[in-house]
Amino acid sequence: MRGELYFRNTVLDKQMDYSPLFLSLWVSVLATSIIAILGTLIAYVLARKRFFGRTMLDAFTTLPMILPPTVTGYYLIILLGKNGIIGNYIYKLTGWSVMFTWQAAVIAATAVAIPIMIKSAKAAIESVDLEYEKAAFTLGKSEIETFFLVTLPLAKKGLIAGLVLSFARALGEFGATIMIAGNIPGKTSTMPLAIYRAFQSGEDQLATTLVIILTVVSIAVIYITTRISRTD
Amino acid sequence: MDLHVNISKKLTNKNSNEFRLDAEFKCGNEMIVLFGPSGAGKTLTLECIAGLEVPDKGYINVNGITYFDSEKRINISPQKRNVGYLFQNYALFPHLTVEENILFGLPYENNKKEQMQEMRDVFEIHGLEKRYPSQLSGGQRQRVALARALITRPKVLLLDEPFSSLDHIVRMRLRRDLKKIREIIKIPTILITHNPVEAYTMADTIIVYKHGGIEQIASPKEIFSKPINENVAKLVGMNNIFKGKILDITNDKVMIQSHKKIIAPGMEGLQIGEEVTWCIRPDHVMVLREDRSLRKAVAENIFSGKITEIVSKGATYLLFIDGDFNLEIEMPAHAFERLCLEAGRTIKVSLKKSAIHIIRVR
Repeated sequence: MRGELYFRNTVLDKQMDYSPLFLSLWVSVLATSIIAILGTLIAYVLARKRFFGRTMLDAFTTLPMILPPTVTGYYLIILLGKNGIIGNYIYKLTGWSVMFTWQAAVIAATAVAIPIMIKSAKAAIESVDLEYEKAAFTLGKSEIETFFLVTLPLAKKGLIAGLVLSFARALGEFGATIMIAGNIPGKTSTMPLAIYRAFQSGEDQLATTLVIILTVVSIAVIYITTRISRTD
Repeated sequence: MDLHVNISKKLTNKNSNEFRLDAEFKCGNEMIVLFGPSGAGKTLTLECIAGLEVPDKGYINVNGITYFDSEKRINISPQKRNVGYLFQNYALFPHLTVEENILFGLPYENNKKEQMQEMRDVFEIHGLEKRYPSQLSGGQRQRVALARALITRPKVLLLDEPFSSLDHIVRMRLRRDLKKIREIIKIPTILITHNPVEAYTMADTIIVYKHGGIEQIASPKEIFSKPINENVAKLVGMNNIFKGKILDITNDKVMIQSHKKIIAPGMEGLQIGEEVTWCIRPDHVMVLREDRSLRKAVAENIFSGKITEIVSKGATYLLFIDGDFNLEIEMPAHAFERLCLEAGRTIKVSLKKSAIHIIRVR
């Protein structure tokens, strides 16, 4: 009974600020979409092409998985900050900087989550027997047609699993986000950041609610990925 | 229609072992069989013709169209070569149905229904259209893969070991199917096998491969009766191989000195004193019945030996004898049973003169 009361008072609280939830979903969905295209492309290139610097690319795209997220965030600042390698040109041209915007949160989430997709997708694509692609070539299909008609459908399971895991990673992103997007309520304060602030400022109700939501999402992700990998 | 191949390609594997393939042959509207041990470069040859591998040097022409020419820097993509390729494991797309697989190579328009109907009839795949490859038997898969390769009306048909994973009955059926196809679609066809029986029964011309090259190109009959060297002799099952020296030459026969003297049919260019290799097929060695007098034809080259081992192959028996020559003999089961042979017994055999093949040592 007490649990139910608690639940009503917190989760269903009309006064509560739900913006971190929606911001997080928006950021994660965008990041996952970018990862779906970019990650699959990089994974395909790594799995199927032989070129100079392939190992370097492989290592480089894996790096954010190993690096502490704050370090990844720091590099992103060097790259995209107002005085950054790329950022200073953008600032000079447009007078705008990506720093401390929700777009920065998307970039942070993408950078940190994409290695998971690349790893998973690369393994999935590598497991597709080359003979299927060769067969498609001899039947007149171009490399792009073959990719969409043969490789993609056959690697589907690994790709979806990679995307689900990347989405979860993006949703939970904290370190790199706080470095380049900050923690501006209603603007860049995603769920993990909001939890941190709510806890710091004693808003236990908000913190608990967000924690429950993230926990439920995480469990769902684990459930979905194990289901995908089990069904053959 | 004709195909002309003259290619060379070097491969280096992970252990930096080098492999070099050199192959040159022509193929009209016939069935050519590439026959030889695995790792000889047979599949590589097919992949070069299909454009899946790029040779280092040489050219590939089909009906006067250059598919590949290293000097003119021509290399047509596999998509534009229109080559029918049957992969060793068929490579049927597992996520597509039989019908989707067969129609995969057709351009979007086209009268798909008609063509599908034709393939259904030729390959007898009625009722399988909606199944997935995993729901088919080995023979069905193969027919679907053939239909898929042929629906695009290829200019060349390449078959990579189509027989290897099939049981006997399905093999027989595939042989029949392939003969049937060859009557409908007259194009150069190249088939890979390492089974001598398949090579013999399917081929118009056999190309015997060795590691990285070609040993001999000839009709099946010639390959099997007159192998050009010891390697080919072993490949085609001419297992009794001996060294000798020419002792005497008369009009139509020669005498060879090995452990014993042996008489063989004459051959142009042989000289007295020349070192040669001579061989005879196991099924050409005749076991003599002691109770019968010898006809003149088998009265030459009589030797004796003790049976050391008997192996039953079902319809035939293999005998191994130690004696004047250590021989492998293959004989029909009924003959074997009539002679009441057993290990340890000494028997007399005749190496019929006309069955002996001389290989000149170069």
